[in-house]
Parts: sequence; structure tokens; C-alpha cells
Amino acid sequence: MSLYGMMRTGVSGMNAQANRLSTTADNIANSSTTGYKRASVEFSSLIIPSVTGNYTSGGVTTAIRYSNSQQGDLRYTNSASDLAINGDGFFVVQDASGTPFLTRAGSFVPDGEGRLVNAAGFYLMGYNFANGTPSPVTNGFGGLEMVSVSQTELTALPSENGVFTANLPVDAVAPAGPLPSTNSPTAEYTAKSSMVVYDDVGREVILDIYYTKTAANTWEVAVFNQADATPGTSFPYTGGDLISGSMTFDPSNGQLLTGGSLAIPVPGGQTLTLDLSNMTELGGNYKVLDAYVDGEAPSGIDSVVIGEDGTMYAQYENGTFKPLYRIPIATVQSPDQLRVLPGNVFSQSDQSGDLRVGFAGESGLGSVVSGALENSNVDIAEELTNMIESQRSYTANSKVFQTGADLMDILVNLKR
Amino acid sequence: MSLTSALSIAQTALLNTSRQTNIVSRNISDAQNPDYSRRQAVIASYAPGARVVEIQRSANEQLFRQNLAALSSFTGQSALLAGLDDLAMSVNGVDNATSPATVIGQFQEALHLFATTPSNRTLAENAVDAARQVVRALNDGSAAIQTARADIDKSISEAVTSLNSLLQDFHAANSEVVAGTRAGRDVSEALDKRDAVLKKISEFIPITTLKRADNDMVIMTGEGAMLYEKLPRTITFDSIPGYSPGATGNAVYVDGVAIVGGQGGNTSASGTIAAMMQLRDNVAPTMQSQLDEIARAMITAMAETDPNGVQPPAAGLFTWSGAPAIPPAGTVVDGLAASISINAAMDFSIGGDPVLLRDGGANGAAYIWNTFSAASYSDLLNSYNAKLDDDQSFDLAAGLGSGGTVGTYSAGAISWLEAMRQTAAGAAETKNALMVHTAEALSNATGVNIDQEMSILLDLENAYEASVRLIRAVDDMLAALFAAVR
Amino acid sequence: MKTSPFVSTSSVTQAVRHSLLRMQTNLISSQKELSTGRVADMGLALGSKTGEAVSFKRDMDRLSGIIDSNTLVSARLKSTQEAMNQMTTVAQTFLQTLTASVSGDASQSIVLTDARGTVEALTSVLNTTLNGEYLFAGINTDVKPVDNFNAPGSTAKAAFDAAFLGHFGFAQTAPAAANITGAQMDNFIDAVVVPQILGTGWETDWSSASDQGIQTRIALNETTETSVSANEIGIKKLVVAAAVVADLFSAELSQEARNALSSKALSMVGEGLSALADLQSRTGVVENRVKRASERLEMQVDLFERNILDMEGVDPYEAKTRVDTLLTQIEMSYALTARIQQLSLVKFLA
Repeated sequence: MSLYGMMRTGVSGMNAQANRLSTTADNIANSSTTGYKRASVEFSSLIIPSVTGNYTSGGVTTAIRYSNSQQGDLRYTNSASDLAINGDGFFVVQDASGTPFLTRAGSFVPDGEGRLVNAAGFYLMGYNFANGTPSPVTNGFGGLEMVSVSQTELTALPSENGVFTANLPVDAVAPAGPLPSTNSPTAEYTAKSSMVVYDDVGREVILDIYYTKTAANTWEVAVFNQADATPGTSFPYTGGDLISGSMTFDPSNGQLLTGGSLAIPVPGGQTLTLDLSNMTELGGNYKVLDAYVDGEAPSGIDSVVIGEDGTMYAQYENGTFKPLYRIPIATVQSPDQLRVLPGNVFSQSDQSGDLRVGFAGESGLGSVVSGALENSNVDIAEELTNMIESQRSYTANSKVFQTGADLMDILVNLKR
Repeated sequence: MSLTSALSIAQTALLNTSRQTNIVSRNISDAQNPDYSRRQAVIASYAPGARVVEIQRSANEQLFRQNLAALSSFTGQSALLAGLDDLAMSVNGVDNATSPATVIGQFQEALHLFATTPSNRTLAENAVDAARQVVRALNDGSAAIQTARADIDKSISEAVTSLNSLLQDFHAANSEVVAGTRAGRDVSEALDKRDAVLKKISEFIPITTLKRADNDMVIMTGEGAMLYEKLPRTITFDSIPGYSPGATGNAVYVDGVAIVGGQGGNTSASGTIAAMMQLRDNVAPTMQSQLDEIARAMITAMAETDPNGVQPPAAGLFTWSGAPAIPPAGTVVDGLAASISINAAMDFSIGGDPVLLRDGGANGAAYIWNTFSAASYSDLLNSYNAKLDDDQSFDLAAGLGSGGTVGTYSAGAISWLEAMRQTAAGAAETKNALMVHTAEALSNATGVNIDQEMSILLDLENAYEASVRLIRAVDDMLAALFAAVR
Repeated sequence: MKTSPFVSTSSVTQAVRHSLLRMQTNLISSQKELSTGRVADMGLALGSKTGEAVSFKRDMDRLSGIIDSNTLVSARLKSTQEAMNQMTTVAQTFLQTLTASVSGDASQSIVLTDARGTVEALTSVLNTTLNGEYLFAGINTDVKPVDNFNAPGSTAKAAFDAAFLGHFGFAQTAPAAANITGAQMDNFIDAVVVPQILGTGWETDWSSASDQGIQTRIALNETTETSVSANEIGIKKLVVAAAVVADLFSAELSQEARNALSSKALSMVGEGLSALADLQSRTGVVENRVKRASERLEMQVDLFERNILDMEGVDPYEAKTRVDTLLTQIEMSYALTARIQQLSLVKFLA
């Protein structure tokens, strides 16, 4: 029990409120900062244990808290490279010197070298697909590299697999002329289709596929390169057929019995395995029900698209996608305990717990939203009311101090 | 949750409303565009706030496919009908006035009149003139048929060119659709364009479509030949500038497969190309054969005979390139209608003697019947008249049976054409009704109702106003707070 | 029919437009039908029966042509009958003269004059023309069938003179002619004159007409001879009888020979008259046939006309009603379009 003690208590209270006002000032200042996490002050009492009948005033200490785990509102933008995380977790970024950090400030734009850099100058990190489908190193930043979309490479994919499904008319009459496989100029066929496939360098090759009934429930399939066709009549093709085969159907239900696959040597390309297993021989006309061949023509990157799972795709001019990077999401046991550093980045602290790196959508991790930014989680009204509250507390503390000072004055004036 | 987030949500709401308004205004501006499908801005909620996630395009593939099929079959039918109208008009004239049947009747009348008064040279000249009309009707009809075939051939060629360029358009639209779908962009525009191109393609050729991953589309003809699969296939056709009777036109090849022409008045042809091929390869040649048969029958009926039965019959008033022999009975001679002419010996306009018609002898003295040149000798004329009314044998290939007189046969030719025309007109009406109906159904399924859009606009207006109100309220609340901080 | 309650604005306006278009097309054809009384497009209306309609029309024209030509034929036959009546009258007068001559009541000069008159009258009747055609020329209608026996240079006269000279050895004007007996004259007539008439002499010397008559189609499948030739036996006999009498009566014949000649001529004229009557009745039959054929044809034409009307005719009242109905419908459509245009939410949004 001492006046000084009381005055010191008032001072500590004023200090604490000043601290709090400082966080409020920061919060209000950064209320529009992307990815900013609100700071707050927690007070704890420093009460000195009192002996009977004697109270010794203590004080108050402040602890700074960050609401790192509280998500801000998502604000939608028109830039696909603006990223936000809906849910828990952080992007992994690094500064110019290569030090990794975590952040939720995702306003990335490509720099001169195609790297994605955010407003604070941090580069986005991701796993590269160049060496196959990546899997995260769960407890560290190993294997991550700076995301760069500067590649202007052209890629092509030769065709290797295909599906062709059609109904062959069961009532068709077997043509009298020579079969297409004989490549005779007078060859006759029952039905014909053609498909585009790609050779090793991505050139389009059109394959003519002839289906010819040879006997009941038996068909011949013959494949030619359309480029070899004789103009007008098609037959004969220079160099003959690429391959021919025979198919038999079950007369009881029209399903294919044999000849469900055809290995076509694509000129200048790979061997294309054409799946014919779903072909049918039913009543009705020749009708193609499904036709698909993989492979792609070469083309350059048109744009970059980032999916919800954090996969960053290059979209080529022909519309095909190729995954370039997978952007991981990292988190720690206690995100609120992360060390806050300038530029809305965080780094691991001794209290934050272990680092965990994973992909969007995995348990405990949010999803990546492209074309959106995360607002700060500051609420002005809250800050303002906090401010008023702090101001009043400060005033009250100052009154305590003043009262102590007045009493001290009285005490000092006792002795004349 | 808090004022700030309320403000942020209200902001998003403003953005959403303006995007939706944008869609509504697009819908209204394209309300009368038959190729436009109604768009809808579908809003999906994300926590927190909401955003326009995607633009959905009304589509009804079933109806669209039905519409395409109806379009094909109607355009095919109407092309056939137009061709038949054209042929009927150019060969038979208005109300069949210049048809072979009519002019043959007039010729018979003139011949009869001459037979009644064989001494009258003017009547002889009249009879030859009437014969000239017959020749002209056959020559002109034959020429008209062949011109029509050449015109059709040209139209087919133009159609093939259009089709090839439409497939290029389709390629562009389809590529955009595929690329856009993969990228998750709004591809409504490209889909509209692709559908519009499909409609145009259907006018030429019946199609079936197959949808693959990423909205990729494969087009095949009704017969299963590929029109488009990743790349447009080429459609080839060798046009022939001029046609002669008996000449065959070239086929149209789609990816190496020939398009089959239609059959019948209620044609099996879908799309204009098959209908035009039916006209070129079936209708017109049959008409030509009929004219050829009529010409042959006229030559045969009017052939001169030897009164003593020694010389073979020889071409008389009507002659042809193979004269003096007469064409073999019961077999079509290609192009006879084009080459039939008046015997120069009887053609008074070039110095011939029409009276030879009465006396015989255009092929020499052996064929003279009226040896004493009696002025009123009518036996030969009467025998001609009788022969014109006699049954002759005709080639079944011309499609009008094998019997009948030249008069009934030529009338049969009119019946044949008009029956086909009548069937075609009836079928065109039915198919048109189906097309209008499917178009209407499609329009109802995918089109825009302005009233609906207007009421949506009202809703949007209200929503916008409410959001603005909200922002103002939050602003007021903050202002109150600021007022509290002195 | 609607699969959904949704109606697009364009389908609302299109529906009206389509039906309006169809009604206007119908209106045009209905108006045409109303003004012509026939279906607007025969081919579309009749289809496979179009050829039949064309045949009907064509046959109708042909039959009308035959009816027209039959009136020509009738006129010719009527003139022929008339001419034959004249011949009968002339021949009967001559017959009376000859009868008188045989019985000795008529003088030589009267018989001669009458015979000459008869020859000229018969010649003139036989050379009757109609529309520039000689009626009795058979098919040689451009050649005068008989020359006047009495005219100078007549081939018939020359042939007769030659025959007389050949038979008797002297001309009929020679004095020796007076010595010809009745039996000799009978012999001359029977052995020379009659064979000459019935044989080739007539056609070479007397007549340019053909035996063949004009064949005419009087119906589609009916052909008949519609002329009388001067070579008919009755005519031949009349002409020759009159000519022989006219010629020999001027010569110096004995009364006996004259009497023999008269009686021969008398029987010849008698035979000729009966043959002519035969010919007249035959011609009458033909006339009748032509008339009946024409009547039949007219009935057919009527039938065809009715058929054509049945096939392509349009009831004017029905057509008028249709036009009226269409007009009303179109007006209603216009009104409806205007109303539909008004019916829009836009109108109610201030």
C-alpha cells in the first residue's frame, strides 16, 4: 500500500492503453491492405500478492496478439493472377535474397522475367511439374521454386490412344467389289469415317477408316492415310493401308466378339491404339457414337490459369492445358503465433509450431481462389470503439495518477 | 459480422447487379436474333459475399437437333419443289400451254384439217407449221432441261464452296468454344456462332453431331461421313459447265464418301445438295427420256412407208440425225428430242414442199403414194392421223409405262411431273410446318422473353437500390462513430 | 404442345408473321381463282390428273376441229346432192324427149337440140365447184372432170369420131352413114360405145376425175368417202347417151338407125337415172353419217367440257367466300399484331 505504487499502477495502465492505441492506429492505417491481419492487445494483470489488510497495487502488462487465422473478406478482381486463400493457410513466398516467408497477400503480377511478385515484392513459390507430378515436402520448403511463366515454348503431343465407337448396320449387304484392304481402285466399302491424329512433331494426320462387311457378323476395318488418297475416288492410296483387321459380332446381341483393338502405325508418329471394343452391330444406320484420339498440335502459351487446387496451368493457343506449377499452401500449428514481418509476411516463430506444407483442399487447408484478393480483417467500427475505450481508460488511468499525485501533494504539505 | 464486411458485401452486390444488368441488356438486344440463346448470370455464394460465377446459356440439344433435322428436310424439299416448278414452267409453259402434249394435239388438229381439204396448200403449210411447234416444244424442252441441269450443277458447286467455307467458320467457332471451355471462359458467343453455322450447314446437308469433351463437336453427314472432326474435311465436287442428254453429273464427295441424291416427290433428300442431285440425276434425265420417247414416237408415227412394201420405213415429216432410218422401237434414244427436226424436203420455209405430206415421197419416188398427184388425196394423211392415235411401244426406263398413244404418253409426262410437284408441294408445306414448329419450340426453350427480362431488370434495380441503401446506412453508422470520437 | 411455359418474344411475333405470310399467299391464289374461275395452279391442284385435264382439253380442241371440218364435208355433200338432183331433172326431160322420139312424135331437130342441151347441162353440173374444188372430180379436185362434148377440140368427141370411123369405116358425116341399118347401129352401141364407157375409154378421153373419192375422217376413228366421182356408172351413162344422141342425130342417118339409137339411148338414160338415184341415196347415207358423227362429237365435247370444269373449275361463290374470309383473317392479324406490340411490360415501366 503506497501512493507511489498507485501512481505507478496508473502509469502502467496508461502505457498499456497507449500500446493498445498504437495497434488501433496500425489497424486503421492498414484497413485496406491486402492480406493484413489485425493486431490487438491483450492485457494481463500484474497484481502483487497482498498481505492481510494490505493491498499493494500492481500493474498491467500487454501482450500483442495477431488475428492471423481470421480470414478477411474476399474482394474479386479481374486479374487471374490475383490469388486468395479461402480457408486456412498461407502462400509460400520468398524475398529477393531467397528467404522463404508465408503470406496471404496474393496480389501477384508477373515481373519482367515472368515471376509472380506481390505488392510487397515477394515472389510466389510453387512445385514445378517439369519433373513429373509433384508431391509436397510436408515439413519444409524443399523442392519449391519461384513460379515463372515466361516460357514461350511450343509443345506437341503425339497421338497414342483413341476410341472409336459406332454402330455398324447389321442389315448391310456385303459389297461385291474388292475389299478396301486390297487397295484396289474399284474397292467398295460399307461405311467410312476419318479422324485427326498427331504425329511426333504435332502435324495433323487424317486417317481414313473404312468398315466393310465381309460376311454375316464379320466386318473388315481398314485404315489409310488420307494424304495418300487419289483425288476424287480415294482408292487406290499410295502405299496401301496402314493396317487392317477384322471384327466379328455376336449375332445374338450385336456386341463385339473379336477385333476390339487396332494398333495403327501413325505415319511419322507413334503407334495409335484405337479402342473399338464398344462397336456394335445392330439395326439402323451407320452412326458414330464416340470418336476420340489424344495428342495435340503444337502451340504457344496463351494465358495462365490457376485452379482451385492451386495448380497453375499454361493454356495454349489451341485451348489445351498443361500444368506448370502447383502452388502449395503452408500452415503452422498456431498461425496466430507467427512472427509478423513487414510486407504482410509471416515467418515461423518458436511458438508457432511446426510448418506443414500441403496442397489446397487438403484437410485443414483452404482452397485457392483465382481472381480475388483477401481484404484486411480490420473492422473500422471495432477499431474506433476500441479507440474510444482506450481513450477513456487512458483518461481514467491518468485520473488515478493525478489522484495519487494530489494525495502525494497533501502528504508533502503535511510538513510545514 | 461487422460494418466493414457489410460494406464489402454491399460492394460485391453492386458489382453483381451491374453484371447481371449487362446480361439482361444483352438478352434484350438479341431478343429477335433466332441464333441467340438466352444467357443467365448464375450467382453462387462463397463465404463471405457473393460473386457471379458463371454465365449459363440456355440450350436444348434435343430441340436444336430436331430443328436442324427439320431444317434440312425442309430445305431439301423446297429445293426440289423450286426445281420442279422451274422445270414444269420451262418445259410445259404456263398452264402447260407449250407442253408437247398440247402442241401435239394442235399438230393433230392441223393434220386433220389438211386431211379434210388436202388440195389446200395453206393447210399443208399450217400442218408443217404445227409440226414445227412440236419440234420447237421438244427442242426447247430438251434445251431447258439440260440448261436446268447445268444450272443445278453450278448451284451444287456454289453450295459445296459455301459448305467448305462454313466448315472453316465452324472450325473457328469450335476452336474458340473448346479453348474457352477449357479455360473456363464464357463461351456463349462462340456457342451461338457455332449453332448458327450448324443451322446454315444443315440447309445444305443433313448432319448429325457428336459432342466430345470440352464442348468439342464432331459433325457427320446423315450417312456417317465425317464433315468435321478437329479439322474440317474437304467436300469435293467437279462441276460440269454444260450438259447434254444422257450425260451423267459428278457426285459430291464428303471426305471421300459420295452424297446420295433423294428419291420421290416427298423426297428422301435432306438439304439442298441431295435435292439438287435428285433433280440433276433423276428428275431432269427422266423428263429428258420422256421427251426423247415422245420425239421417237412422233418420228415413228409420221414415218414414210413404201406403198409397195419394198423399201424400209423412212423418217418423214419429223426427222433426226440418224435419218432416213427410224429409231428402234421401245428404246430411249438419248437426245432425240434435242435433235428432232422438220424434214427439209417438206419445210416450205427453206424451199421444201409441204404437199409431200399429202403425197409422200420426201425420201424419194419409192415412197410416193399419190402417184397421180390428185389434189384431194387424203389416204396418206388419214393414215398418219390414225397412226398418231395408234398405240406404240415405249421404253419403261422413261417411267411412264410401255404402252399408249403418243397423245396419252405426252399427257402422261405432264401427269408424272405434276404428280411429283403436287406431292412435293404438299410435303414442303408439312416440312415447313415442322420446321416452323421446331424453331418455335427451340425459340421458346432458348429464346428471350422481353417481359421476363424487364421484370428481372426491375428486380435488379431493386437489389441495386437496396445495396446502395445499405452502403449509405453503414456510412451513417460510421459517421455516428466518428462523431463520437472527438 | 409447349414443352415449357416459357414463350420467347421472337416466337410470339414470328408466329403471327408466319401465319400472315401464309394467308397472304393464299389470298393471292384465291383472288386469281375468283377472277379466272379456275384453280390457280392446275398442276398443284390436280397432280397426277393434270395430264388427263390436258388430254381432255386437247381432245376437245381436236374434236371441235373435226366438227368444223364435218360442216365443210356436209356442205360438199349437200352441194353434191343438189347437183345430182339437177342432173336427174335434166336427164328426165331428155328421157321424155327420147320417148317421144322413139314413138316418132318428136322431130329430129327437137331431139338434137334437147340432146345438146342435156350434154351441156350435165357437163356444167359435173363441173360444179365448191371452194375452188370440183365436186365430181374424185380426188383430182383441181382438174375439171369433164369437157364439153360439143365444144371444139373435145377429146371425147375425137375419141367417139375415131371409134365410129373404126367401126363403120367412114365418118358419121359421110354420106355412107345414111346406109347404116338399125341393127348396125345397135351393134355399134353395144360393141363399141358401151365398152368404151365402161372400159378405159371414159377415163382416158371423157373424164379427168378419179375413181377414188375423197376419204375424210368424220370422227376420231371413222373414215368415209365424202365425194361422188364423175366416173360413177350412172353419170357416165347419162353423159354418153346424151352425147351420142347429140352427135349422131346431126348426121344423115336413116330413120331406122335413129330409132335404134333412140331406143338404145332411152334404155341407157333409164339405167343411168336409176344408178344416179342409187348414188343419191348412198350420198344421203353418208350425209347422215357425217351429221350423226358431228352430233356424237358435240356430245363428247360437252362431256369433256364438263369434265374439265369438274377438274379445274372453282365454284365462284366458294372462292368469293374464301377471299372474304382471308381478308377478314388478315385484318384480324393486323389488329392482333398491333395489340401484341402494345402488350409489353416496357409500356408499363415509367
